[in-house]
Amino acid sequence: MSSIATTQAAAIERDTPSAYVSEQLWPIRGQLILMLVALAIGGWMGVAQALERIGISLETLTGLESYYQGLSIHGVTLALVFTFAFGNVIAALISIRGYQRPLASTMLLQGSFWFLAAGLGLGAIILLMNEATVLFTFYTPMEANPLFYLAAVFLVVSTWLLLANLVMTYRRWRADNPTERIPLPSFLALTTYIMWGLASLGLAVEVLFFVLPWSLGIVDHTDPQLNRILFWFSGHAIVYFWLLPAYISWYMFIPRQVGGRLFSDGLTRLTFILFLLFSIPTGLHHQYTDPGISAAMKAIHLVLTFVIFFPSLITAFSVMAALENGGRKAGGKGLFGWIFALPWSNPSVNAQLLSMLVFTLGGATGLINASYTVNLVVHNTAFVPGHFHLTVGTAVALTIIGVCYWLVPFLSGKKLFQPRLALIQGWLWAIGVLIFARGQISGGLEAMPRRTAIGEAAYELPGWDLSNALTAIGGSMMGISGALFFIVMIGTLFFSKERTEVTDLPLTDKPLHGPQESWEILDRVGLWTMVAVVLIIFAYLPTLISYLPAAFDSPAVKVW
Amino acid sequence: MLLSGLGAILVSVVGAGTMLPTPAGRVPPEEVRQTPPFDNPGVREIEPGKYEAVIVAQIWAFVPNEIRVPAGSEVTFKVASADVVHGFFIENTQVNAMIIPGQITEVKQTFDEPGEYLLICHEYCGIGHHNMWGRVVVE
Amino acid sequence: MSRQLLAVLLAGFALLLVFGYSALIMPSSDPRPVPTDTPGPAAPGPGDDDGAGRAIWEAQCASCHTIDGTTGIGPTWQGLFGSEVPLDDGSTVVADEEYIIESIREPNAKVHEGYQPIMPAFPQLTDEEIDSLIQFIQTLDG
Repeated sequence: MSSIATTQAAAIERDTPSAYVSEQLWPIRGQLILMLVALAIGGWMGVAQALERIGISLETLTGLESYYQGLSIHGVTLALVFTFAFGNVIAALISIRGYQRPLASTMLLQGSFWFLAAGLGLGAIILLMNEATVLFTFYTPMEANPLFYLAAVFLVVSTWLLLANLVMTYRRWRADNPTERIPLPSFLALTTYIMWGLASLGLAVEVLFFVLPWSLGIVDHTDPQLNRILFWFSGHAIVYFWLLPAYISWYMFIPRQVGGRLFSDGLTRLTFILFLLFSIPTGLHHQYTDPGISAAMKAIHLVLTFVIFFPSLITAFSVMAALENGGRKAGGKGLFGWIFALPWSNPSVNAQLLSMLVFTLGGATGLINASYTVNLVVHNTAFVPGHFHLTVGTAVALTIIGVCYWLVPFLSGKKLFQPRLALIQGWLWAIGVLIFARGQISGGLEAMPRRTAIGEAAYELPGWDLSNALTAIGGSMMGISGALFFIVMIGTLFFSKERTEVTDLPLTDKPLHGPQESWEILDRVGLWTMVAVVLIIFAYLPTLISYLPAAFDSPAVKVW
Repeated sequence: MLLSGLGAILVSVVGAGTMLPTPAGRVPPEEVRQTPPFDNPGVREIEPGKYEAVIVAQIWAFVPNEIRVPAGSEVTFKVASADVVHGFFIENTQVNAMIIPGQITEVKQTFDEPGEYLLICHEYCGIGHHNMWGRVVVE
Repeated sequence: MSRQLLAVLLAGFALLLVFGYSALIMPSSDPRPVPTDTPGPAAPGPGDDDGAGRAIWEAQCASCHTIDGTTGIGPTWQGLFGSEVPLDDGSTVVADEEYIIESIREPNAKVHEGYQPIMPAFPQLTDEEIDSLIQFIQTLDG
């Protein structure tokens, strides 16, 4: 631990007495490191997959046994570890800072770190041994080594421990502050994790009650359709568990970083309550083409899915308002002048602004996926990875990278290494992903399948050559961008000067419309949790009732 | 904006008759090859202009993998899996369905234009997944 | 960052966004004309009496086994019949009728060296169908 970091910790303690304690800081730092390790492994796999499309064998490039092994590693490290780790880090930090006190349980926070480490370690070993080449969705009856499912359990438990911690911390704070509004940063972290706590129940039931016993041989047969229903119960909400920590940065840090103010405290609370309510009862839109589910239930989920687009639209408005506020304060004039007046030379702001621009295409393609019959055009084609590399791959990942550009200096006490490289990194990622997604989207619209080793496929169609070329070029650019990011990170941690100024999280302070103007009922988190449960029951009980009895008919099959 | 989107979807379903796959029966994967109609996969004419294509999806092939019909035919595809989850996707048509072990998938498509339509498995089903394909030949 | 540079970058970026959105406005490609003699997945060909063996190969085996000597997920069938097959335990076996029948009924009883033990069993193939396959394989000289 560098001396400036110790000094910084001490200074933070001076300003916010007993808030950051070292027993709680090391699990946060540790998960950040695990997050970076997962990004490195997963990112490398991604580059190899992009190159496979132009005939460079992934097996030769990486030494793995198959394209699909690489794809499984890519999915698990990025969609499960990278994202969960960031969520844990930001939720812990921002809750501490919001309540101005440490989290209620140091043991649970350290437990979060250990379970994340165990999940990443065990998962990586099993995947690298080629014992779990089932992709991160692990659809039964493809059967992986039981330790793979255990690794997934560890990762989810890591987030549950943090949820428990956040709830306990809230209750203790509430006991000391019976009438105050929940501090906005802590409120956002709490609602995000309650949403995920409810959402992860689908996965938990699927793995603990059905898949794990079956893979251990305790039962012989499983029901793949039922398992999919349970998986996608969590599977759509998980994207909001990925997205909401990025939104936390856009709402809580970006306004300060651009010199503006958050538009409205109440509107922000409302947005996160809407996510709590509507993230989960939408899962069937991933199963429009499943035979075992009725059209009526699929239609209900369609409507609920369109509802969940609203809080993102509100976010777009609120964030733009904060940006415009900051841009005009910086002297920007006219209709668009404020855009140029934003601090683009700040690598953290640069990356996040670019990710917001790219996110528009991600949202549009998401609506297309959700549109019931339109889904027949795009389901399981390359259109889908085109969509989600714009959303989780950029809106989330590039925002996480942008946050790292101030968070890693903050936590380590070192100056950011080569900010100009960091600026180039941001542009390269955004440009690269647009080219990559262009290739995937057009390939998908020309019937190219996803999750397929296209470079080795026995079939091909005329438009795919161009699509593959664009994917490979865009993916390579993202890979180079990733390498630049790691150069900056390693440089910051090991080769950089110590920081001399002591700073706080770049937390937005006074919104334009403050908490006293927002509805108090928004703070009744327990009430909203119950409403969320009612909505989940409304969306899923009829689904399950009309589906049951289950068809436990499928034995395990090893397919690689 | 969203309401008009929902309206457009309604038009596609009610007006154009586009349907998502819905429950069409069940068959355990271990019994698929012994259970009618999957014990005799192939293409049959059931009425003039209407055909039934019964297909077994297995690792890593569709059986049969070539479906020949005259132009203008309405084909009802009945597909079941003998092992794991497969995809069933025919380019340039509305046929895009999952084949889930235990469930029967039934989708209809009218082929007006003569030509060759690629049929692909688009859900990862193992190491030979990228070789699992077929075609619909409309004459 | 200077305003001019930023303006150029943002303009270029806007162009890229338009490029990205343009992917959503794709002309659909028409189905291709029916080929007269393209080797499709199930075209019967010369070599065996009624093409039954070849048809089974193309329908269920071709995804892993080639017949022209090229490497696939599984060993090629060119020159297979009667050859000495190296196994993963170091021994060899002659690829006779018995070996082929066992490979289809119990694929992982004997695994070809250098290949993964991932061949599924084919219980749906009748004895007659396996005979047709063997006849077909016998026509594939090395």
